[in-house]
Amino acid sequence: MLMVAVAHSDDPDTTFACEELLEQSEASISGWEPAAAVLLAAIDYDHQQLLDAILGRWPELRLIGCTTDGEMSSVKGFQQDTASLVLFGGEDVGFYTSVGRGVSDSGAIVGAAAVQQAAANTEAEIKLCMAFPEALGTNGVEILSGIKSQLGNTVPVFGGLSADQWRFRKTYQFFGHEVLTDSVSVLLFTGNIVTGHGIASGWQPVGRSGVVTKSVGSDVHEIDGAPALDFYRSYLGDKEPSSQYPLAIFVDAGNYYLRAPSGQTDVDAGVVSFFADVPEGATVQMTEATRDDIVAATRFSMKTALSSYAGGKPAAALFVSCASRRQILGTKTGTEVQGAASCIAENLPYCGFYANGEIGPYSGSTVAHFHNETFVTLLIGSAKA
Amino acid sequence: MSDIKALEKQVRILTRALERSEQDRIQLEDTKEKNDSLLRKVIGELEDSKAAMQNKSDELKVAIVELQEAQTELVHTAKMASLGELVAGIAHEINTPMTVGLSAASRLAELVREQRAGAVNGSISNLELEEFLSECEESAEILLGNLSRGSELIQSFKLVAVDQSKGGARLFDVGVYLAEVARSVSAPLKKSNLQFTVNGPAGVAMNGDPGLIAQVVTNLVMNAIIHAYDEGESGKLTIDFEAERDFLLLTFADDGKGIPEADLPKIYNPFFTTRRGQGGSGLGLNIIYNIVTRELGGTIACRSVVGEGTRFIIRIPGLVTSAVAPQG
Repeated sequence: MLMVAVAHSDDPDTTFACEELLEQSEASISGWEPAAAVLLAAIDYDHQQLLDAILGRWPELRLIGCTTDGEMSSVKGFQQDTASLVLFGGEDVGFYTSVGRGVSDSGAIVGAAAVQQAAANTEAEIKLCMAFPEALGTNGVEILSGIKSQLGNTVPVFGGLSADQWRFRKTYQFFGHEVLTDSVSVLLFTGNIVTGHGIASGWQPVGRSGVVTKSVGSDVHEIDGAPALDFYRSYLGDKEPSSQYPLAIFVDAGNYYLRAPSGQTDVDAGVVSFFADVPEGATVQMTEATRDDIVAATRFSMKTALSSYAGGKPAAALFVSCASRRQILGTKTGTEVQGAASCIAENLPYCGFYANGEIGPYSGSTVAHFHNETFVTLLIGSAKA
Repeated sequence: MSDIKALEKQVRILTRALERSEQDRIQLEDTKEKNDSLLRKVIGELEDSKAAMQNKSDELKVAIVELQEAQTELVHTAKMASLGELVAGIAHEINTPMTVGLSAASRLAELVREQRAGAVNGSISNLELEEFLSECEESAEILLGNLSRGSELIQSFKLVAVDQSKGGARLFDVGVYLAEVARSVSAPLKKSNLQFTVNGPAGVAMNGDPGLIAQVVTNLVMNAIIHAYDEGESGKLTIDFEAERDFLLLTFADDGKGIPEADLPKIYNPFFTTRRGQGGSGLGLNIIYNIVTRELGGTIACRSVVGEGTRFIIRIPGLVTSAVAPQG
């Protein structure tokens, strides 16, 4: 049976944070040995020290993770400048990790290679994949397509892109003792694992629509024949595009997905970069969200996950929310995770983080997609006894 | 010792929170400015959109007024065109009874002159007197019949004229009257290659306005000539009548090309025509519909199969199956 323990330290000092994480972990696990873990840590910690301390205690632990824009857990709720650790174990569950390096150059190839390497260690059926890719200078859609190329469309992929507290300068991914950039770390689950998932956004299109007349991958050059930056500036004034203001990319009338600017804008050329592809010819529209819309969507995500979960009592809930949601929610960010937690059993451990892009399947599907501005929920547990 | 450690931790947390608060404040202010700008822009777009909608609404109002004026003008033109056709038809039809009547009157005058000469001579035998009276009677009947036909045509003209002046209700024999209507449309039927027959039992009488029924039947015939057949194509038009309780049931049928199913719901709409620009005004069936439903208080239904033909089933109240022989 899957076993899960969650630790969360709010001490900004790395040494003390290490101590707290280990103390809380020791207290939470009894009678089982953790085999894998995910570390979600604020950008300003000494990450090497964190990894070394955790692996010092459990040398065989398959450890991955990334830096964040904010952390949340059943121990401390929503926090910033903190570190949370989720530990997994269970005799009938298998855990396999790997890392792909250089995702900015060839996201699909590196993503595929990472999964391939992790999966090479097992013959068992893969039930779940967690992935934490680099956010800056990469293409989330490409990385995910590489991961899915190895897993097919029946294995749910869940995760988020690393963040750096809205600085957009440098983010990190963790793999064992390594603190990396420009990589994707993955954790595969096999054995007695059951999952449920949900996703929701809350952003709504506003204003006039335009057509992307020139784009190269995730760089949008022109909208309606004019520099893409002009489209944004007509709404945001002289402020540069940021991820709170994604574009709605219309698939057909009424159906759209969101693509958020990555914060990397070529002001001279008027080119706006996004976290993933924006197809040429797409009809796009500016979007906005209110705090109420965001919190309502979070509850919806949680409830959808609960309704899709068919296992025994869940062992834990994992959340990935968008850094832009935190930016809009401001001082009310805590209400988001409180809203999600209010839908689940009081003693169910949960852990999550604010990311620069989210990965998860749409409701009712196992096919994972790359998202922006969303709240992704994963419920994990084992089959009913 | 643990209290001190806890306090030290709290200091670290607060110090870190203080460091980040300025950063957060800048970010939140930036977000707020962006939101304000976004809101202003969207409001501006909505106002522009509202102004554009208002302009469009004003333009539409003007267009509606112009359309109503054009519609009134078109109705007037169509009525005048219909009147013109009617006058030409009536003139053609009235010419026959007038000519026959004139001939009968001339013959009568001639007979009287001959008889007067015989009377002066005192040479008229009883047999000659009998022949004279018979011829006079025959001529008078011809004269009376043709003058009556002329009068009826003029009455029909008044009934279907543009001012819809009514000839008034009276008791009439439906079969006899419809036969006369059939004669009145014989000229356009001859030009085409169509036969028109009236079928129904004798003695069906109706208390109503025959002129309106004439207009309905005439328009149905003209409509069939124009729409149901290609030029020169042969065909059969029939009108069957029968008593159905207190209603007169008229069934007008052609064996022409039929009406597509998609067009059937629109055929009574004013200005609906499949021959726009080819002489169709789109008012023929609309006028029929209005006369049947409003003037006569009846109903009209259409059944049509493409390639087989069209039937109009009309029910009109006011049927009287009287034993008193009605006037035709």
